[in-house]
Amino acid sequence: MIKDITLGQYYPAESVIHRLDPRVKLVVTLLFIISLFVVDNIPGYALAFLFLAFWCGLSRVPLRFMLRGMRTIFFLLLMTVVFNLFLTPGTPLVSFWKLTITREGLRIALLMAVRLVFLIVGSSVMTFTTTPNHLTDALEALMRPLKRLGAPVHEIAMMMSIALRFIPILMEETDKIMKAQMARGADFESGGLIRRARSLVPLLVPLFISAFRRANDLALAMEARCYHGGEGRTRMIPLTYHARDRIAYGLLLLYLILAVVIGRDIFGLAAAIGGLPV
Amino acid sequence: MILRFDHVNYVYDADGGQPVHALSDIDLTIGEGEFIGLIGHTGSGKSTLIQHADGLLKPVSGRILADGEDIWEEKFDRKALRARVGLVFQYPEHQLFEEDILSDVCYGPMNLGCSAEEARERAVSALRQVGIGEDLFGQSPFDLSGGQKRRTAIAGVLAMQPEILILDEPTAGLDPRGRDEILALARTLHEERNITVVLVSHSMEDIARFAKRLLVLGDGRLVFDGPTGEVFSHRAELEEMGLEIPRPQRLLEALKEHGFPEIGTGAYTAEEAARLILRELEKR
Amino acid sequence: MEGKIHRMIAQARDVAYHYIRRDEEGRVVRDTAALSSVSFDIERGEFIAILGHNGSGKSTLAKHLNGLLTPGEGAVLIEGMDTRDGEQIWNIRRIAGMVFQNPDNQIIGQIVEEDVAFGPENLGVPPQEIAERVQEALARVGMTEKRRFSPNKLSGGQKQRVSIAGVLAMRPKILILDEPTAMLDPEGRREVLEAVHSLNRRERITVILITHDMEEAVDADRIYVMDGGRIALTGTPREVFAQAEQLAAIGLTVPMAVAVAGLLRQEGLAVEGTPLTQEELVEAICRAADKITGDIK
Repeated sequence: MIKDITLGQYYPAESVIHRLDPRVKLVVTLLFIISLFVVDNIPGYALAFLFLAFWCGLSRVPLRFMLRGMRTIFFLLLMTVVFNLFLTPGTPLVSFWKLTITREGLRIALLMAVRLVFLIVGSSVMTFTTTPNHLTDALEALMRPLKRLGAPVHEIAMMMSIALRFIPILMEETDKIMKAQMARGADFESGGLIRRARSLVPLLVPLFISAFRRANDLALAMEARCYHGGEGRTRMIPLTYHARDRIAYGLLLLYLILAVVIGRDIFGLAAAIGGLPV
Repeated sequence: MILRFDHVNYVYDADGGQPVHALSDIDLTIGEGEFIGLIGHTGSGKSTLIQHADGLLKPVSGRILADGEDIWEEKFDRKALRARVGLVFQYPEHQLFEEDILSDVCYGPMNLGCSAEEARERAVSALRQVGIGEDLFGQSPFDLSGGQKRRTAIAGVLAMQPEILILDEPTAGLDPRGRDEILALARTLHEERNITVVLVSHSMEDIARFAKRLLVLGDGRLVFDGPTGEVFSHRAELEEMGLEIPRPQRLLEALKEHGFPEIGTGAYTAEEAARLILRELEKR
Repeated sequence: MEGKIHRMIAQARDVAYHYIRRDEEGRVVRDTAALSSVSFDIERGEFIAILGHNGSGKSTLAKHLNGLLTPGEGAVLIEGMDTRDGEQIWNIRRIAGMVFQNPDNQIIGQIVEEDVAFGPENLGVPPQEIAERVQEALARVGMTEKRRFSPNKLSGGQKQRVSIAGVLAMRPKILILDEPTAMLDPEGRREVLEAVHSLNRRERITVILITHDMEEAVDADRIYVMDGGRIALTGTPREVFAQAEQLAAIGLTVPMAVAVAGLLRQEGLAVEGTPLTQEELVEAICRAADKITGDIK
């Protein structure tokens, strides 16, 4: 059923990561992802792995939850690996039938796989430990400098959080309208592309009308509760940095420096040792 | 048509992943020409049950038989079943989508493969039955009043010429006038067209006034299935399930405790209650 | 005069309001009078029920009471403040809090607590005080236990109680409820009405309940019956429901007890007064029956 799809995948637990300021988690996740594309050697990835393992371990989210997210991107992962493996030109390693695996292909395939897996796990730690509302709060806070340039930062954050609230409701509604039209003999599955697209009209029109009605009701309800934009608004739980947040930023900085130094091999250590493949 | 539930079970996974038994071992028969009431607490499985009746949900185990044929057999035509079992969802006006009323009501018959001509004929007749005048046929369904919208939506199902009509909370959100119109419509369809009606409602008074047979669902189980008066005599069990008995009956039972031990309690309207009270007083 | 303004928390003076629909060129296509010459005075602490069928103007009236709509003619005063006064509008909306019909379409937060905080946040209340107000408001409607829940996991009655808490957190003096139970099951209805009655009785919050359920109006201090944008009947429930014929003429019914009493009287049984509830009716019937037995003796 459609309504089983839930957005956001918050895993309630008591952990340091859960308690971290959402801004920290957002910044850590973003910079960690960037670091994955900066690093390009094995010691660098080993370092990233250590950082990620530390980050995951502290979050107390069971590993199987983390890996569940991998299932959905498994095919993407497989495709990336296969394409890179066989289609990258370079020094041949193995060759059978019409396919050739090159040294460069193997390297890129492995690199992409590692990057993707790290990227997914890294960002899922954030979504597992942060409620969607906190995330929008963090986004609003981090984008605040843009406000001076005239960007409607508060409005965007408010829209995101309203969208998050209404998506499950509209999903359920879609399910209901679909069933109701099926009870009137609608067929959403058979026929060609055009017929199928046309069969969606009896679903989409009521859905849009409902969404507009809800938007209208909600606007009234917000006005009745004295909403008048972000001006002069306070928050029940304002975002404030604690000691743990500063420590987290410190660790992140340390990681980033190490990632650049090791992952880019700035001092040529790896090359000096000579044995490590690059 | 005779619709039979043969030990039907339905289980789905809740958000947390635990299985929820929405229907447990439902065994019942909906016979021709019946007027059946279906009551139960929110979440007792009423919606799940009626969706099974229309082939919109598939039982996990057990069978649903339409005139003896399993509706989930491979060759069975479920689209035809959905025409014969007309299911009117809660707030059916939320499914209106066409530019004018007549086209909207034609949607069902057109899906069944009717010619434009026949669909129109069916739609006109269905709209007449629900009391929507011809002057409104060309109007946008969105310009109608709440009660008219709902009746138009019901016409959309009636145009499929169902033998069984299932109404899920058809009076929800309507004012007293709108309620009466819809209930009168259900009664007319039953009495004059001999359509089997299944009325799902939270209003015990409405159920008691119209339904001759009453089904009570609790936690996915069929707790009671019998003549309405007989089921409503199980006051204690119903109240334990969070269900009330009709107000007139409650009044008479209160009188019974206050010095009228002989008074009859089988009344579902103010008129019936007044008659029973007068009859009792005449004895004095 | 001074004293009167203080006693009256909400007043309407000859209010008229028209819904005007125009075509593309701005010509008036339809002009519907939603309210005409509506006047009333509501005292502090009263429980008012506004009855009427759909389209009678009762929701339009409700939206006038906190300035969501402003009168085309006449004036609405909340604690003496005119709703057309732009400078007072946020004060008026804080004092006159409003709960709507659809429980899903008025909850903004994704967690109960966050939603209740929405009002005070808009008012610029300091964080510590918001947290206190939220806790207090949830306790007053009995929803403390669900404070960390997603609204999607609540029943209809619980959602409406959260909506009431959201209004209470703004510390209002008037609670306007626009058909708050129309979409609920009997249990949800009971929960919401109990919460509202307890707020009125214990805290003397003025309540204005808009409904088309006659039984819900029985416990009100006063009833206004709307029809065609006008106030058709007004008085205590006993006074209003005694006029069964006038109510029937505008498509409304009376509570079951009133209906039965009326039928018994028609048949010559001496049922006194207008019994509004089952308990009152049982008593009245017992008295009438005793009289019969007494007469025979």
